[in-house]
Amino acid sequence: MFVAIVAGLAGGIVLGLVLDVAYPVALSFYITVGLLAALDSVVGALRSHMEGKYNTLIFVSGFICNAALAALLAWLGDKLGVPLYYAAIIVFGGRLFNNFAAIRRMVIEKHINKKSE
Amino acid sequence: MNSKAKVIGIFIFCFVLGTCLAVQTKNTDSEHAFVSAKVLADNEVSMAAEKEEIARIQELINETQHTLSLYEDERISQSEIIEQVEANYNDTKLLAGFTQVQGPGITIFLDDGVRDLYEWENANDIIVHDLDIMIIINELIKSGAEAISINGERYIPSTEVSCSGHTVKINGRTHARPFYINAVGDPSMLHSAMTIPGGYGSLLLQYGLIFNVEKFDSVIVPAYKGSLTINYMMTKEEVQ
Repeated sequence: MFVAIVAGLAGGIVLGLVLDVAYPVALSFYITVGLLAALDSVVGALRSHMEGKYNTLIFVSGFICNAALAALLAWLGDKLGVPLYYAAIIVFGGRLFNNFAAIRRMVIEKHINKKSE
Repeated sequence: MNSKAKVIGIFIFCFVLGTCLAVQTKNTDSEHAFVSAKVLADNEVSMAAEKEEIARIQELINETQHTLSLYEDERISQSEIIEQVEANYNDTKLLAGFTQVQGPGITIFLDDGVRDLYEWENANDIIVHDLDIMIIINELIKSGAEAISINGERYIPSTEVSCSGHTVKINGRTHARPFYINAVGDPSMLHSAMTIPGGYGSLLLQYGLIFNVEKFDSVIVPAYKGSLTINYMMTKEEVQ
């Protein structure tokens, strides 16, 4: 699982750098917020996998829906004049750290348990 | 769901996420700015125009160099040099407006309006002014007119159009309404410049003046009849 995530990200980044895709600067903001949500989904998937609760359907739906909702929130905030994208950044950014902390704990516990055995 | 499908699923989505991340990173630096199709087309057009201009200038340089080499060539006879100078002189005269010319163009008929005035209105509103003529001349030059005359007065760089009561002074001579403006140039171009909605011609028509434009295959523009005197200006060597 871990290998698949790293390989997928690395392959995608290489492809993105090779491809020459361009879009208006105005859209770049929404895409960034969407990407944050997607990144959170991936880290969340890694955590649930380590906890043995991973479900592909939950991951896929979360990946797409969270990204879409974050972008929509940013767009709506732009229209209303209220920076609603803060909500997306704080929630997904916070969850990113939470998930990362959980993963770290699990890895360390495994490692220490192995050593102590 | 088996674990192989799980791994493939997460791989695909990580792949998509990685691609998006890289594309977004590339998009935020200015070297990969987004260019819309319209901007691209505009740039192509202006580039083509620049290239044409460069080619034209190159042609001019070649031509001038050719003439220069002719002068420098000692084998060339005196009479040939005189011929060249004469041709040059005639060209200059033609360009300066000292010869009668004829060519395709338009004739504008401009006269005071004949409609009734409103109570609050000033008669100035339907009278042809010196400024009207100046603006029409400028519009004609903008549209590529090569020779212009107003009531037989050739328009040259020193031509003035000044108000003198109910008449207009052009080249020092007084002219009264109606005004016939002849212009040599691309007839359809000049005609559309004069009759375009929102143009100066339609404004004059709105005010109630009489303004007619007609295209002709051959319009005669007379030569400048006065003489030019130079009192102040002198040539100055260009410092390079």
